[in-house]
Amino acid sequence: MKLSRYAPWLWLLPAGALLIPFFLIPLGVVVRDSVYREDPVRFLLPDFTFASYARVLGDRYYLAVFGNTLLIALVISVTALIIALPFAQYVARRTGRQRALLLWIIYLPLYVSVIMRAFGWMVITADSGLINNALMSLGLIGQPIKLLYEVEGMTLAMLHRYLPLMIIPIVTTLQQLDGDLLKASANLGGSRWYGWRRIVLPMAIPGMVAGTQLVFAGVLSDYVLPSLTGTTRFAMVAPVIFYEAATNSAWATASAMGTLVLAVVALFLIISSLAVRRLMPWQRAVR
Amino acid sequence: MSTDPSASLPELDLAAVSKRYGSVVALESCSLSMKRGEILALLGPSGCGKSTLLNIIAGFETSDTGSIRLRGRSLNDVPPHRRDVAMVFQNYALFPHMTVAENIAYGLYPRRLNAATISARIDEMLALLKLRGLESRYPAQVSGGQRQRVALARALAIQPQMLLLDEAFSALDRNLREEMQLELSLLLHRLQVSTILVTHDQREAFALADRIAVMETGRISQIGAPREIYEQPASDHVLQFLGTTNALDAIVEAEATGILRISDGLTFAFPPQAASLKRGERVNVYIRTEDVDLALHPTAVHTSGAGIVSLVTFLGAQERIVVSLGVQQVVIERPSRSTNPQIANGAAVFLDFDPAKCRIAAPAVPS
Repeated sequence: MKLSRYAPWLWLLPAGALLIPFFLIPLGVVVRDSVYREDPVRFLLPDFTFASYARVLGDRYYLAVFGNTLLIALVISVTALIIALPFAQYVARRTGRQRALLLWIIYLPLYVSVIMRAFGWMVITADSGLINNALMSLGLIGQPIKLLYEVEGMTLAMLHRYLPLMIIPIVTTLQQLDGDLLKASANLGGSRWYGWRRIVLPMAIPGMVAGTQLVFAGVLSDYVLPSLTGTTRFAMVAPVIFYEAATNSAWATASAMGTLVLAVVALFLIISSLAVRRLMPWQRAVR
Repeated sequence: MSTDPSASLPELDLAAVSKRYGSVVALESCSLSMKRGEILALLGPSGCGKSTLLNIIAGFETSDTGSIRLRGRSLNDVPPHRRDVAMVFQNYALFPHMTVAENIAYGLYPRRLNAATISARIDEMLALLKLRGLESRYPAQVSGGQRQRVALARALAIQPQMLLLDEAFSALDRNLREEMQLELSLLLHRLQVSTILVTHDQREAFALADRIAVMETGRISQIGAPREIYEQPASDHVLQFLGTTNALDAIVEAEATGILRISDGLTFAFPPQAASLKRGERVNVYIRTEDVDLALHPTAVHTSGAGIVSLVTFLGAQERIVVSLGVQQVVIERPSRSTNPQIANGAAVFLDFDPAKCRIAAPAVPS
């Protein structure tokens, strides 16, 4: 009798056994370190202070790093959304083999290590890479366009990395769309555009929001692609945190920046979830 | 009397509409014509092509051959959103993210009506279908019967030239279904909306339709008023599909006197002119359950060999008696009056019926 009350929680045990020691505790340590005092000799002194936050938020360099990162996250989220929506709609309308093939193409990049993909993009975007060679041999440009180790190349690589995370949730929501709804729309005199605007688009909101959340949070904390394909002239937050912690041994500063990223992501998730509630009042009616 | 020249034309005119899916014939040369304000039922078992025909009229599918004209205008090349026929879907297909009022208004915006007309129309529909007070609810927040009303309101709001109902009552439970059928029948006749309803439920067809088209394997087998098709079915299929019909195997024993052997020692005698019978031929005798009665002695038709009562069931207003004739069974349904003689299981009885109400035909090819 007593067991049955706790039994449902047992299902969470394996996940909890992994998440609590390896995720939540280190996270707690980071948050704790962010309010410790930095010390040139002993690195961290257990002394409660907001000095690191004050330093990070009061320094134009750090603020620029946060600004850069938020800008790139925004650009990639919006671009991914624009590419993903028509693509997802196309995939959702296919059936059988065609859909399986298209989904497999979306998933394919996720099977390959991000390092491999970064090197792939380096080959493509380098000065003597695929893009520049093609453009030069066509005579469209006289000298190579700087892509690699620039914001442009990095954005391209990151867009490729995070696009599947935008497409998949949208495909999932669009697949649940009852085809009779679009028939009903046409039957009542609605053109394709009217039906898309009034039915497909609003019904895709949950997928669009879920995709944006994944992409936004992913870009914000990406370390690999900014390090391998980006530039220090346009610093991103994750490599800077790594630099502060590993090279400068400024663990409190690094922890404060990490905690701030966490706060931004949390804030974004909360705001977008609230937006869904506002945009989709019918969702509450269904439950 | 009318100044509208289209009033004399048929409201809807289908001529030789055919449709194939690969080698499967879905519709074969279906023709029908409807008057304005008429309610027509397409009645048939699933797979008979009735839904395909409806989808062709709505424009969701295209016919291979044949023409469709609505008030004289050819619909063949008109896309669904310009046809002005409104459909009520089997699952209603209400927009889950829109309120009842927004659902009703959906078809009004593309018609470029002004805001005052739109809100007046919504109000009219809410009143007509008794949806007042539910206008700001979402479909998930109203009952099944109310959802059907919303679907009807949404379809009628656009003042369509024709209303299509695709098994629109099948999601309702029986009492509610009959209530809604009655209400809708009154409403449609009052509004004079030409309507085609697709159903496999003959009760629904009888309850609503002015005329019924019975369909079978892609063809319209008979089209007529409900009483006409019930009392004068044009084919064995129509007979068997409507009402509850007994089918008995028999062998012709004497053609001159019309004697049919149902089983050993059990014979029926028909007036010689009843059918052109050949001695030794196998035939089927079709008779509706309500056209048969019981007798305790041989009757004019059931001349020899008693049947045995094997089941008596009380059904409220009716009673159902199953009589075994050898290995075959006849089901009888009759009003359950208390004056009926009590009949027990195992009683030996004879059947009595009017030979004119029977149909004798060569057995259907076993499929």
